[in-house]
Amino acid sequence: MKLWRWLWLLVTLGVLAEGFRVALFVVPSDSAQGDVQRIFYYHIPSWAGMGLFFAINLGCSLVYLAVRNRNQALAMKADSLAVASAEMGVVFCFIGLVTGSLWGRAVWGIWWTWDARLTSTLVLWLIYVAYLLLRRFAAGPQMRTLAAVMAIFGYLDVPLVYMSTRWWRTQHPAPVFGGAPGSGIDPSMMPAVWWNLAGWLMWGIFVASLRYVSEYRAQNAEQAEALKSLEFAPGPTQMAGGR
Amino acid sequence: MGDMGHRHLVIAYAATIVIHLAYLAYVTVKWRAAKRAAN
Repeated sequence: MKLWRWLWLLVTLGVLAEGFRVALFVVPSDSAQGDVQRIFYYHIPSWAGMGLFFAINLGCSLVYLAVRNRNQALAMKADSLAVASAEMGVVFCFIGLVTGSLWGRAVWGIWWTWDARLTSTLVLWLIYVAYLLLRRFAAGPQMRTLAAVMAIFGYLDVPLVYMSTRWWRTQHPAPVFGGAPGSGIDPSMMPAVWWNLAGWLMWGIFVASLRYVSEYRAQNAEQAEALKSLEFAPGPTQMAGGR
Repeated sequence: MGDMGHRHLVIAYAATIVIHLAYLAYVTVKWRAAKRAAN
């Protein structure tokens, strides 16, 4: 692993440690919910990470579709980054669902309810899991094109998830950031939001970059292997007995 | 919030860290396999 990656990891772990300390021991408790509200500081970065990585996946899928017949090298890079970002987005989305469910159990008394926000988010997670399963189990040259098209359609659920608490009345609370006038949290709680947002996004970038490199190397090796077998494949004359 | 809320808070933080570490382990395996294939 290159030096800059180790440095990035070191700074990330520092930011995460500070985020943990500020979230649990520095910012005040919520007056209505008490300490359980501190789940928010890990819940929000998960959704921000999901939004960021699914957007990267969308961008890479569009690039792949645009250049796949003209620029093989760029297409391979875009496809590798699409896989890495989809996996990272799925991880963040899953954590958002788990932390949300735990918070819901403590505050609402239920683990889950089929309201618009929760349902659309679960559907989004399932769409990207299906995308990864398609990439894992489908074979043939069209697999990457199909996956890119699926990613574009899958992303259509992201704005739906974002707007669900604005369009419909849900069990899930109204938006905290960017919501109606008067929404938001007390400024004294914001340091916990910023530290954890920065820390978990940096972590996501670190892990996704590792995954991108490994996928790119694997695709390169796969292509080299395919070219090698073509090189050694018997030509038409040889197949006809050399006449 | 009683003890139950504290328990949920601890589980939520622990689950976040465990899931991220589990995915990092998967990525490390992929990284090593790709490095072997490239050499």
